[in-house]
Amino acid sequence: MAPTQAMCTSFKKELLLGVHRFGTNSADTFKLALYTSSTSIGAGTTAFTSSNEVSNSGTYSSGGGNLTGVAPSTSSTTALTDFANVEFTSATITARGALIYNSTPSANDESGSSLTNPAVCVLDFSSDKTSTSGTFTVQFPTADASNAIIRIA
Amino acid sequence: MTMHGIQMAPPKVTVITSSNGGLSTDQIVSLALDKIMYVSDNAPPEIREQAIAFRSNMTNVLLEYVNLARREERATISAVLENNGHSDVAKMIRSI
Repeated sequence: MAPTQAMCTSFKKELLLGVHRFGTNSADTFKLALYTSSTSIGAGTTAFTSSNEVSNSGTYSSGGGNLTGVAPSTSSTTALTDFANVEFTSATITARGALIYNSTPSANDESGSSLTNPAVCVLDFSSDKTSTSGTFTVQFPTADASNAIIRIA
Repeated sequence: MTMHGIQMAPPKVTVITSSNGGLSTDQIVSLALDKIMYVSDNAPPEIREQAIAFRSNMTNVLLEYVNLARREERATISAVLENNGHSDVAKMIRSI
């Protein structure tokens, strides 16, 4: 098994429901959790799961790390947003992918039920990445219309 | 009939790791350069060559100043340790 890189389908619907607020002004808290190659998270993932999450080590603990967002912007006809790099230090980690999720969603689902840790997107690192008593850094791509981590084109 | 669609797909992220310590100066410089500039595979050859040359120059400048920052931070830590009676640890920090 392995993660399948994708924007989660539930996230697309939740955008229409106003569940996710990105940026720096009254923004929701977005987090990044790391997973082993045994995970099968992908487009169908709807929320954070601790199944096949990497073990606690160094500054990494279950649920992952907070992401620092930047204000959403536009470039030509594309809307985009970005996050600062996230790193876990003094950590022994082997991860194959990650899940970005929202730990403080702004709205309930269409039936009024609250959402818990709704998923945003799944990242596949293509191969296992390992830190040994060291630093594990995830760097997001250039925040432009072609490369930003979250774009609506 | 024209269809208007919304396209969303996450791009690849970069993962950099280290063993028995933090990231090296080279790794930090690489992270910084990836944020400072992006050389498109589709850029015209002459522009691409200029961009790669600029990136090379930037690499050397950043290497110098990131190394300087690391040395100065160690010097500050060593001074604090020395002033608080931990000369042996201060010496270890300086020797990194």
